[in-house]
Amino acid sequence: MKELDIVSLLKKTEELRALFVLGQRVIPFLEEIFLFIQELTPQLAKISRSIEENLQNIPNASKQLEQVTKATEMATTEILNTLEGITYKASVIQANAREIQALIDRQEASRKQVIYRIQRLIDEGNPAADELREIKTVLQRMDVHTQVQKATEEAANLMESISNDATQIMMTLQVQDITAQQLAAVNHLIEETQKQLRSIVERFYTRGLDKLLDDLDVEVRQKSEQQPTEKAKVTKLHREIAFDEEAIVGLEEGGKHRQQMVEELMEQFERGGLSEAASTESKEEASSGAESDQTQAASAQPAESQTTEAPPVSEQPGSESSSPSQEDDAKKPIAQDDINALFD
Amino acid sequence: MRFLVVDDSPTMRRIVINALRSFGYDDIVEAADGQEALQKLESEGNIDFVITDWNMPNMTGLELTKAIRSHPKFSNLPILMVTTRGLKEDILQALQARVNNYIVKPFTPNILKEKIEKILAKLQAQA
Repeated sequence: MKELDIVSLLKKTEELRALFVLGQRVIPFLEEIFLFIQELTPQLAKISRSIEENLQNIPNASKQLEQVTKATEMATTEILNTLEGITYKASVIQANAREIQALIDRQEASRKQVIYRIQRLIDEGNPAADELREIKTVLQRMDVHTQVQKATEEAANLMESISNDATQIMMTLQVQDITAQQLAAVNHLIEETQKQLRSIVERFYTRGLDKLLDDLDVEVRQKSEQQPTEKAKVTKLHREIAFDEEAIVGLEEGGKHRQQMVEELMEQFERGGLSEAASTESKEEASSGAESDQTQAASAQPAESQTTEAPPVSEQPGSESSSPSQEDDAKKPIAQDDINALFD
Repeated sequence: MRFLVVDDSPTMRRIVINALRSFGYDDIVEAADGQEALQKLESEGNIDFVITDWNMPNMTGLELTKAIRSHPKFSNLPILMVTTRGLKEDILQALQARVNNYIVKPFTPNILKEKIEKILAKLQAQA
């Protein structure tokens, strides 16, 4: 045996020894992993049983949402009925008040005419001048025109104010539609979660953990590749409700908050800040191409004068090149003032 | 002036209709989604103005707008979109579909009146 072979053999032996040493160290660790997996499987089974139990409660949650949506819609309908009644009654009273006003104006003209004629008879030396003077005094005391006119005018104005209040309350009831959309979004989420969990539990039992994880991997990939659809998301509560998950943004932007935003924008506008912001945006969009072209084309050509339909942003060349900040910008809620600027 | 109010929410339809009545417009037809709106356009006839929501089952307001714009008889109908969708990308989509104007819910009667009058004034100026 050559000296070289012996050296090589010793080296191999040393490597083998090192491998055994490593094995001795690794085996307990592998045993631990094995034990962990052994323990994990019943735990997963437990979790899946717990999920199954919770799944039984989900239909109840959906039912409760359905009841809430139905109840608020019914209550809103009742309020609207009452408000429409108030508006109608107020308009009738208002019309009557105006009629009374016209009537009292005519009566006043007649009263003045009679007083004038009596005065003429007295002036012409009528033998019943004393009696005529008495009648004239009575007629002069019958001057209620000013008071009646004031009262009817006040009543008409009050009725108009009540009508305006009723309209204001009606407009506030938009919140019912917005909250219904929010509840519909929550219901949709609950139903989707229920569907997914049920499918996971079923596959855990029938296909095993490995296959289940592979399946989930594929599903997540498929979902991320899904193209956005033009169809509205719809869920079934007491009726089919199409919803916008972002509807709450509209709600937050509404009322006082929106008004505040408008005031702030007005202030900025007066200081010249808003116009500067608008011009910066248009410069950015001009350099990005498609979106700006579309915006400019749309604002330059209002709907009334457009003859051809522009392709969707997603189909336009260069539309994918928009920067993340511009994409974020597109996802931002926009104030009514800015919408107005787009259409003006 | 005959209006077509399209919204899947009965509450919203009543609110818009009441607002229109308070402006003096009494001739109003309603529909619960885009499909019904198209049927009403055909069956009712003489619709002069469409006020539509965006999110609706069966056919959205955006799809309705596109259908109207590509319809030989109704392509020039004024369309006002009234929706909870207030993102810039939504408004750009609506512009592409050629709506005449856009209101984000919740809205005030004044803004509705203002938008209707603006659209009608523009149309009159072009006529």
